[in-house]
Amino acid sequence: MIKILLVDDDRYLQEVYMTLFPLGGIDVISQAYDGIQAVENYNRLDEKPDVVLMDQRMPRLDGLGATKKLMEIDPDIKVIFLSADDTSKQTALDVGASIFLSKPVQIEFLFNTIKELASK
Amino acid sequence: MTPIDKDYLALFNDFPDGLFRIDLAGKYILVNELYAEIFGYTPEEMLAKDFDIWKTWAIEDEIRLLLSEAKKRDIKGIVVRSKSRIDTMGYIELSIGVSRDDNDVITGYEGRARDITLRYEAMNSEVEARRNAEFLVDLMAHDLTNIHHGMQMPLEFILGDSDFPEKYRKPLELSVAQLHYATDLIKNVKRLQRVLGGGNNLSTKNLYKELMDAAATAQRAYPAKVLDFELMFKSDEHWVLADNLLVDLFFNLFHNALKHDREATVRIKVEAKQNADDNLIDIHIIDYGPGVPDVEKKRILQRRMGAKGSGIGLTIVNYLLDKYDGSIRVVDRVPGELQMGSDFIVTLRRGM
Repeated sequence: MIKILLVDDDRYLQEVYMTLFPLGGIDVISQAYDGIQAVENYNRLDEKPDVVLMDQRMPRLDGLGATKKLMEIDPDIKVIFLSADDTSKQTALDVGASIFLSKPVQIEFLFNTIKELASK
Repeated sequence: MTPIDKDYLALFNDFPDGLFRIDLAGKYILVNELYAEIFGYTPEEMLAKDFDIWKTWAIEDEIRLLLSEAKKRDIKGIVVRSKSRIDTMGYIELSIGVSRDDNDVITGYEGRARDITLRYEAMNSEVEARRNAEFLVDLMAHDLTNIHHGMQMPLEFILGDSDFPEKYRKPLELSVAQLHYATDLIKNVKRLQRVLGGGNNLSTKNLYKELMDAAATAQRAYPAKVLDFELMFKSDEHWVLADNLLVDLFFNLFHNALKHDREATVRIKVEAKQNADDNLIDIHIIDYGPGVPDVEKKRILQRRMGAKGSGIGLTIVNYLLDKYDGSIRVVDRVPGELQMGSDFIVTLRRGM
């Protein structure tokens, strides 16, 4: 199963992802609700995720800040930015996100994007 | 007092702005009634021994800089904080220069002032109100988009299950369609916010590029459909006068075509033709969809603020055309044959 780290401050969305992703063959190995927690969780994991699913607007540290820090830890990390704020698209790609998706996204499309990126 | 002096004094006192003269230390030597009124004093009070500009102009450091600068050049229309007799703060628009004696030596300063407190506060209130409105729209758009995302994914997942009972499929599809509509509405509100908030900086735009970008964006908005898009002119052939939102204008027209055409492949052809006026160009956006009923043709292209949400895309089109001094009309693709599709004719000014 593909392993992902979920980063989003919206707890309802986290619950939706946790319900759907296993049904799509994706294993959520860690959840974070802000950028600082995302970096902390990533560092603590023995087995690293194949993909990080990153929201932008979060408290303490936003998606851009978290992606920058994760890129410093692992330049090969694969981050999918999934945000309701499409003004951050270019900046997200500039700081190292592999893909930027604007919410809302069709679930099948999201599954396929995660799987394709994980297989690269 | 000579007659000329009397005339001068009358002119001085009747002048529509406050007039003043101060010495190098900042003490008032001469003020007219209007100037004294700005601060709530009489001219006599302002000309008293212990009265100076520091009782009327606030922010000492700013004033010292201002007077220093006025020695080098006349200053026109600078806004300065003011203090009134009852210690309320306000704003005056000040023009000030030096006064000199017969030997050209600077003896003080003279100028005029206008009380702009109400205007300034209204302007600041407007700026703040706009900022608040933008913040609230942004906040609501962001949070609603997240909610739609959370609702859409489970519903689409269920619809994707081939074992899902067929009799419940249609109601669920209707719900998902409403969610898509709500998402489009939010995106269009944000676009309209940009259209209404933007300035009026028009420049020359490559028509081919703008249309291609708009088509690509429209295709991404409808991944389940295929947009068969054809441009009937060359990439460097036509230039128009518009701004960075031109792509939104075309996007909304393509989006409407994709939305209303029930076919899996939606065909749009774009032609550009010379208008009878040499300075204008007619851009024909031709679709093969269900057409626009005659009763709707005029109405939908007049949509402006206050219209209901279902036409916000065309509201954006109309506002942008107002900005570009352009126009739009719609006719049947095949005259008299409504069901054969539409020809939206967008007229824009040619760019140099």
